[in-house]
Amino acid sequence: MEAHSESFKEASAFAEAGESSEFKTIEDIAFYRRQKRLLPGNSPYHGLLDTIELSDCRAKLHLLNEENKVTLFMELFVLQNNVIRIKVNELNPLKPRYEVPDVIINELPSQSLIMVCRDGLSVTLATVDGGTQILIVAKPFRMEVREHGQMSMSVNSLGLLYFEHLRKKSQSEDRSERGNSVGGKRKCDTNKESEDVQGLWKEQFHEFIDTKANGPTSVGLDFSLPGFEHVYGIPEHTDSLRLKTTSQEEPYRLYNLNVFACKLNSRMGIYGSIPLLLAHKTKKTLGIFWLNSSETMVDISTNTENKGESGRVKKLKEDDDRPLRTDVRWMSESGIIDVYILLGPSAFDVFNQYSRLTGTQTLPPLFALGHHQCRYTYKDESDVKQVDAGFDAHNIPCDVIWLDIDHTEGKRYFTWDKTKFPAPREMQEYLRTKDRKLVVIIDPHIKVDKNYSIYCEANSKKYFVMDKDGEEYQGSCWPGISAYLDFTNPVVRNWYADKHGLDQYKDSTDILFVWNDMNEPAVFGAPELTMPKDAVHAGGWEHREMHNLYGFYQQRATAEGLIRRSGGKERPFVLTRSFFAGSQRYGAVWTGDNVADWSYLKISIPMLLNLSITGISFCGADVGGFAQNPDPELLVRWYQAGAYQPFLRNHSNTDTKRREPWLFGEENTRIIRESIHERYTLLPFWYTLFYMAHTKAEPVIRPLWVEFPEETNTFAIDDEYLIGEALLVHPVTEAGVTEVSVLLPGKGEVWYHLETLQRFNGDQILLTSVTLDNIPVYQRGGTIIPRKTSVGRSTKHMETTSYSLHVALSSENTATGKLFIDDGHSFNYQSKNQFLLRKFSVKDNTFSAVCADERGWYCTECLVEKIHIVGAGQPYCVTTLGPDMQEIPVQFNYNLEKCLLIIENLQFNVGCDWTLRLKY
Amino acid sequence: MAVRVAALGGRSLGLGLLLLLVAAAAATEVKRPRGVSLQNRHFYEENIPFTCLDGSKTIPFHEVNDDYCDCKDGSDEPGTSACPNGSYHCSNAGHRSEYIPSSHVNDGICDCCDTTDEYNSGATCLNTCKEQGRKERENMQKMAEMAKEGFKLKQQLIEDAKKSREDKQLKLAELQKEKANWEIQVESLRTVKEAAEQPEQEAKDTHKNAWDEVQAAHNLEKNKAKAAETFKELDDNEDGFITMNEIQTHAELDSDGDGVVSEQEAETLLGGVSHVDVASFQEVVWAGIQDKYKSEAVTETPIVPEVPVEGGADSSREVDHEDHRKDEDEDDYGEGQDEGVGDDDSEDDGEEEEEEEEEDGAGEDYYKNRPSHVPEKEGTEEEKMPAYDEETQVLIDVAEKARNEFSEAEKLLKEVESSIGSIEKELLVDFGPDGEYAYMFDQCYEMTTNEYVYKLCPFNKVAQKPKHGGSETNLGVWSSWAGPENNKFSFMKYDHGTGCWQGPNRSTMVKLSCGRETMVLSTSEPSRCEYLMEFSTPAFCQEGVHDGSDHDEL
Repeated sequence: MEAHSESFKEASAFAEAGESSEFKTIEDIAFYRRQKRLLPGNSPYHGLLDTIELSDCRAKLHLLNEENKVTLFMELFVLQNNVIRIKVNELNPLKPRYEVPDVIINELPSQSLIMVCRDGLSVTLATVDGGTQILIVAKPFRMEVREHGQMSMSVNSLGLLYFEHLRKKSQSEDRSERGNSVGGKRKCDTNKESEDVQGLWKEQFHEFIDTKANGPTSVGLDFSLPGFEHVYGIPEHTDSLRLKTTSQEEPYRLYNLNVFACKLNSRMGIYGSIPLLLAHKTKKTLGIFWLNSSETMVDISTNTENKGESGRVKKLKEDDDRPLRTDVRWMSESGIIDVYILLGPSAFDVFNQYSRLTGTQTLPPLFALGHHQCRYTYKDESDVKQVDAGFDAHNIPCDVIWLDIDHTEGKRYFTWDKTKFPAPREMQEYLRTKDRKLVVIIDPHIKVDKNYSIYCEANSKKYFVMDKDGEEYQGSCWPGISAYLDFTNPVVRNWYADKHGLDQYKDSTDILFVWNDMNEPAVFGAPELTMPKDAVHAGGWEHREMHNLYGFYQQRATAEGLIRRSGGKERPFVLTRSFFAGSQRYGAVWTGDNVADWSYLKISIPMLLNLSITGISFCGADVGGFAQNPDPELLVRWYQAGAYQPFLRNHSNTDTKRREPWLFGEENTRIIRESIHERYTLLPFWYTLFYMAHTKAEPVIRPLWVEFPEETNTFAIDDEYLIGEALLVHPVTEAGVTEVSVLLPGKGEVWYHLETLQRFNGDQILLTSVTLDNIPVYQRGGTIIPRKTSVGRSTKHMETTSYSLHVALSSENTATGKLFIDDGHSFNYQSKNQFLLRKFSVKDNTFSAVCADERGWYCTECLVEKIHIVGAGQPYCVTTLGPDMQEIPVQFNYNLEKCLLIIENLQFNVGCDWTLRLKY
Repeated sequence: MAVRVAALGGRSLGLGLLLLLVAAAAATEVKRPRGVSLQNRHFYEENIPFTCLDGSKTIPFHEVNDDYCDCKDGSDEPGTSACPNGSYHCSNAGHRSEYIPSSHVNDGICDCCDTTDEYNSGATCLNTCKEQGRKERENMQKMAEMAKEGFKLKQQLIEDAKKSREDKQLKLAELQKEKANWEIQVESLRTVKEAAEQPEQEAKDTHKNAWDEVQAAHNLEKNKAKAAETFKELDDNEDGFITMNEIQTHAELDSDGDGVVSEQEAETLLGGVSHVDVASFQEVVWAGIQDKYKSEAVTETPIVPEVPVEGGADSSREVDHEDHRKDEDEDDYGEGQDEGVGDDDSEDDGEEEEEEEEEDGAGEDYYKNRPSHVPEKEGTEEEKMPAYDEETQVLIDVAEKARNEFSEAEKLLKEVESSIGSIEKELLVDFGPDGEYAYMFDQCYEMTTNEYVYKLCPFNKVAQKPKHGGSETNLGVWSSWAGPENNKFSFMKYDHGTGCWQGPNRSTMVKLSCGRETMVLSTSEPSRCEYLMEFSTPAFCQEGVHDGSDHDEL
């Protein structure tokens, strides 16, 4: 955490909050302490089997807590596509409890259930086809999910179902509270003390007191996963791809926080939260989606881990002979239990199931997949122009230049600093001539200033979050004292979206896009640098209920604003720092304020992979590291990695040295240029993958195990990954490295080094030498990658550039690949079917290009000009079919050494069907 | 001589311009494939198979510029954007020719001033070569004139520097002589002084010893009286003896720390006997108890350390703090950011530090204040030593005179030495190959922006001061010439300036350029706390550099 001292951007926040303890440790979290007093063992809950009701395609059941006699109401749904939903609430709550809205986009149709077995002790329900069965055991209550006779998971088998019912404050609690506030002294009242420790109605952290109007409302449940040893997901943490067990260490915390230069290998909560956990074993992947937006803790344990001291773990000793198992315990501060079990069976099935609930990755405008240049801060218009000119002078493509907070008039978003940016519209028009875009930062805090129209309007309309006493909540952020828009309110979102209109946002143009930062939300001098949990949102809901949704909602409103600005025609681009399940529908995510250190480059890989498999395909880390100065080698390596990651942005803090890619000497500039050129050359491939993520929920970058689910040696790999199914990338993340050990997975498969085209067999660990010039990248045999033949200064300049298709043959001499093309910026692909989805394949010595989606048509002049086939033998002739089906020979070259067949000078329109025959 | 050289420079400039114009006219005439420079024309002979410039491949001539990339080095497509790594040459008749990346050909953006890069994109480009060429030539002419004048001034500066250097050396020699004289003088006065001081010291010592004896006798007397008084006090039953009981009433005499004087302790105090009379009390007991003993009479209230008074040292501390605070604000917001923006936090930081400092400061004050009271009190109690006798006083006066004369001479010697030091230091500074930068020494040049006044004092320091009041921030002190090896005198480096808040010490690079006037042209802060200043001076002007002969094809 030395990084603190280096940073200005957030140092003020830190100086204010103190050195290291601005964030809670588990000892500081009252609901977690309360839940952890419940040890594995017999659950106090009793499933009242007499109350079972099967109707409306669901099962209903009462659960009685035998200790406090409070009854819960459980609903059980078996949804289409192999998803089970378990919903538990109080049977008769004093008032409604918070249920997360707006995240689930489709209520999936549920299947009818039948009771297949019943005795006094248990009930077995099943779908009509009998494929899925749910066993409900009455006492102690637990459930088992069985598929085709096999147990997939059990629920509450450790007895950790926990549900704090709404209650009235007892008189003694009230008295002691009042006595406390009147006297102002801490009397040694034993009762009171234990209450303080429990934090039922009040919880203190440092000087901050969280008042709990509703008292304790925490919920929790455990899931046991037989046969599973590998679990993933629940971002965002600076931890490995594979989640670690938490019995000896801190649990995974999901609580969106503004953490500068986050500590690495930590499970503390950072900017965003996705409560989706994936579990994988050979032949089966499943997911647990815990739909709760309050602070959430996840405990993970296995029955194989080192057991010892604690009695809690000892209890499991008798299980030793049993097969291996992973237990996952979810604990949330408030709300209800609403959990979706995604039963797979494959990883791609889980991705698909999750996307049906929360949506897929939005299709970014093509420019957003290009190279972004950001800095805190580009000082003025001439600075922007010089940076823009620098890219042209150094022949480095760039699509977007970014402006951080200082472009505004005193951090009043939607305004311009008149001295530094006197003519913002002209500046944007200038960028437009280069076919570049501008992204500006718009944070959620609004400066309290009677002369600032946004503030005045929102203030008079009561659009801000309130404090617990019903006054406008005000906290401190960049502009000083600020109020926070209540994005959970649809009326506010609607109003906010309109603020992005070209008529309302003065001097904005349609090449301006938006970056939402600090939307955890960040509040300086507040508990954990965020909004107090007892602040109040629309509908009277406490902030604690939906804290993790705040950034999600801001990005949603911003995206809506940008779409509306174009009359619904243009795709938006919005980058957000904070996010929740479903944020993939609105744009991109980056990993926040990282540091120019090798360790942060290394951790970016597992961080991005965990985001990718939980729906957020459009993600990236600041190239070079936001805080501190990278040495040239680190910067070069970071560009090389970033060029192969979905969101590619160079960003740096105000106290760092300038970091435009040409400032590090000619040789480094050359290498950086080459990696960015490679990125632009591969854009058709990236764009097609984004289309697949958008339509099929396939993650753009993937952990190895997703593609090789039966190869156990891939399960924990997170220093390399796949782009789509075709490219394996192993970034170099250490200084001075001359050799890298790469795992090439795939028994019976082949791989080709992307540059040398050297062929390697799969299922081996390869020790390969590297220079500073490049990082190891391999194309998988059996794939076809579309590329552009040359690059321009931005994506727009490559619109008409020809394609070349790079084929890597499998060991069976086959290959397939896809290419998606549309206008790159509008919704016409959707509304007018203006797109091309082409499928290329090589089989039986024939290369064919066919349409992969007959619905679409898009007119393009682009040609397929070249085809490279690596792994091919030397044909004596290559022909294509002429208009009247006669065979016409085409020109080709063969490189014997590389087994590379190059077919050149082709003139196929990319939208047309055609074939090539390789004659042997 | 200087004048003649400058004139030559001017003429070569004229010739360069002429050649440039001729070349521009000729360039358009020569036939060659699009995008090929005149130099490379011979590689592209019409109707002869073309071999890639890297030798990798040979293709029929008609495949050159056929919008299909054959050569790995991109050399077969000099005039299209087909090759990812090619470059396009524009002649830019009327201006300077240049290469642009192939990807910029026909991409709708006009790169070449002669518009030839956009021959097929539909972009409407205006040929601006003539205009640009004219402007550049005008500009170059201006520069050349400036260089000429500057160079003239420089010659003067060189001569001045030479002269001033000679003057300084002369002065130095003089001072060295003077110094030698003063050294002799100082030595002889030292001898006189020492000779006078010896008898003085002896007489003073005698006087003091006598006084000490008187004092000692007096003190002994006092002590005895005190002992007698104490005896009386202790002797409760007034029987002329002090018994163990009587001593036991004085708990402060306890020696083992239990707060009670036991019989054994009392006996020890009385010297191993059960009672003592006045005489043995004075001889044996008193010495053992006089430090601890508390009189039964009303004791004086102990001296309470006074509470430091506000003002004085304390208020100066406040001022220090204010300064510190301002520094901090400058660091954060010194780059022209809005006032009142985000400062709430930094103010809070300030306050935090303030508290800390107050604690430290208060402690210091406490210790500072205390000693000043103590000697005063003691001084008043002491009786004064009587004045010296006449004989001694005479010796003292003589010695005092010798001392004064000696220190006066020593002071003058130091002054001479310091003059020598500063001249030597100046002579050591590298004022350029011909000393042309010497004239800036001891000068400062200011430049005012919207918010700040920047001050460059060459070979000394760079500073920044807020226009509307506030303290000066040091942007670096003279370090060295810092240009590249072949042009060392093009940059000056100033470093170790005021530390940035949570950052490095400020530093400034000064980039020199040729100009009539010596002035600061601009300042900027390319990286946080690293400043760049542009500075013009005739001393940087070179002979005939701006002759306009940039490599154009001929």
